[in-house]
Amino acid sequence: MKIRIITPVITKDVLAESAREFGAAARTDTALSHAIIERGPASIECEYDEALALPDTLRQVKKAQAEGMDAVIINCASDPGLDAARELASIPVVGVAQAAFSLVTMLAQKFSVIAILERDIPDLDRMFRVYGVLDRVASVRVMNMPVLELFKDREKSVRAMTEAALLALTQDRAEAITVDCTGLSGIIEDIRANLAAAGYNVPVIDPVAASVKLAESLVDLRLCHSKLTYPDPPRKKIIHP
Amino acid sequence: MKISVVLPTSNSDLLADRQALYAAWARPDTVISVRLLHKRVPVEADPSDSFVLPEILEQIMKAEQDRADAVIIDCMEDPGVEEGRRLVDIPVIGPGHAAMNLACVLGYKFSILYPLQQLMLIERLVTHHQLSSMLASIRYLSCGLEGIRTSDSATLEVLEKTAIAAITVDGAHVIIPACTLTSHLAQQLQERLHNKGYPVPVVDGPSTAVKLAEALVALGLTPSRVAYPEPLGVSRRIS
Repeated sequence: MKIRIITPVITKDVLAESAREFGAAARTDTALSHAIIERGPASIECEYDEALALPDTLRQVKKAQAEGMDAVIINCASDPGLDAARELASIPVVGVAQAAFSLVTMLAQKFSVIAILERDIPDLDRMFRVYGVLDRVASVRVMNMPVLELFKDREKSVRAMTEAALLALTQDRAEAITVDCTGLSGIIEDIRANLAAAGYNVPVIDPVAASVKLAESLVDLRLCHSKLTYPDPPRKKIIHP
Repeated sequence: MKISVVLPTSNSDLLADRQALYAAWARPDTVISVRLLHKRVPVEADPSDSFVLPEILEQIMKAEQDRADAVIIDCMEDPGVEEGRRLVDIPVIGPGHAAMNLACVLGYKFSILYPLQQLMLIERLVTHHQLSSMLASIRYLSCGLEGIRTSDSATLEVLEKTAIAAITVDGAHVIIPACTLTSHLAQQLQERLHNKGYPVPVVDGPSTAVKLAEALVALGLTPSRVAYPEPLGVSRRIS
């Protein structure tokens, strides 16, 4: 099957990283291809960034469907444009945050999310409600590191994330952990091992891996999003931004 | 990988059918092996009755001893799934929760089509997993379990009629037939609904459970030991 990973940023460096991360989770018979956007922000850290990324992201979704992809994954943990993309597309469109939240509820009653920035919390709260997982959330814990710095200092990221996860487990009664950022697959196993060493044998969900498995499953199951929830956009005059 | 499917019955009549059904959804390198409950369990026993529970748990543990990588319980009420997770180190999957969880990903609200008149038996699974806010309705399938066992074509008619009522009256955007014995009809039901102008996904429990099992095993994920702690001494006593 053919899956297109769309990373809604203009930073070309992410292409090699996303090829590595998504590739590690995909089956050998899954063909992944990768795209970024031409106009928009260097990274997505707030609603403003997200809004500017959307027009080109939707163009990429349309292109992926026209090129015969079986599914699309939007590679950003705030699931930017997920609803709009599903209106536009008649192939499965997977959001990495939704994939992670969905998977973690199969493994624990309560989970905590490790977010990057304090300002991510309201948007996470919105996603919990819309995705129907609010009652299973123990807490959101924050690392407080800018996204582009996260990828540069691996040790610091592992330390910050382990500390945040341990607080979630000891203070908030979390039973599993998910990470609200993509591009960190390389450190997930370290976090899991650190938590296990501290006596917490809990799943740590990588949204990248979760999204690949959800996309593969939907294609295998011949399932797509409901067109009652996401009907095609009505035809009208639009001057595209 | 090896996935063990526990049929929550001692009746061997359906063994070959169930094996074929699950294997049809599995990847070429996934081996499905189906197991029955001990013959001391009456063939007419209801799988969600409490006295059947220890028998299901025994098979979950035996599946792990036989080196299964994951276990699926072939019943939409997920009997023994949460208790089983405490007894083994491999994923234990219930098709009921798996289907509801996937339905939430695919649309705004789902309806469950259920062949028993005691709708409470499936509603409690929705409540347990805190999914009530995503539930449009639970509707009774008037053919009942007996109808499902006797005629595919009549069952498909009832499924279609009930699904359309769930969509048009209750506002369902996703449909879940909640009996694993209708699994082989799910794709036909989806096609019929699409052809009649109801573009909704029909989420099937067994096939969804197979995909979830394959995904968890591939990613090396197992249930949280904080959520599902090992009961002290109990596993040794049962085996």
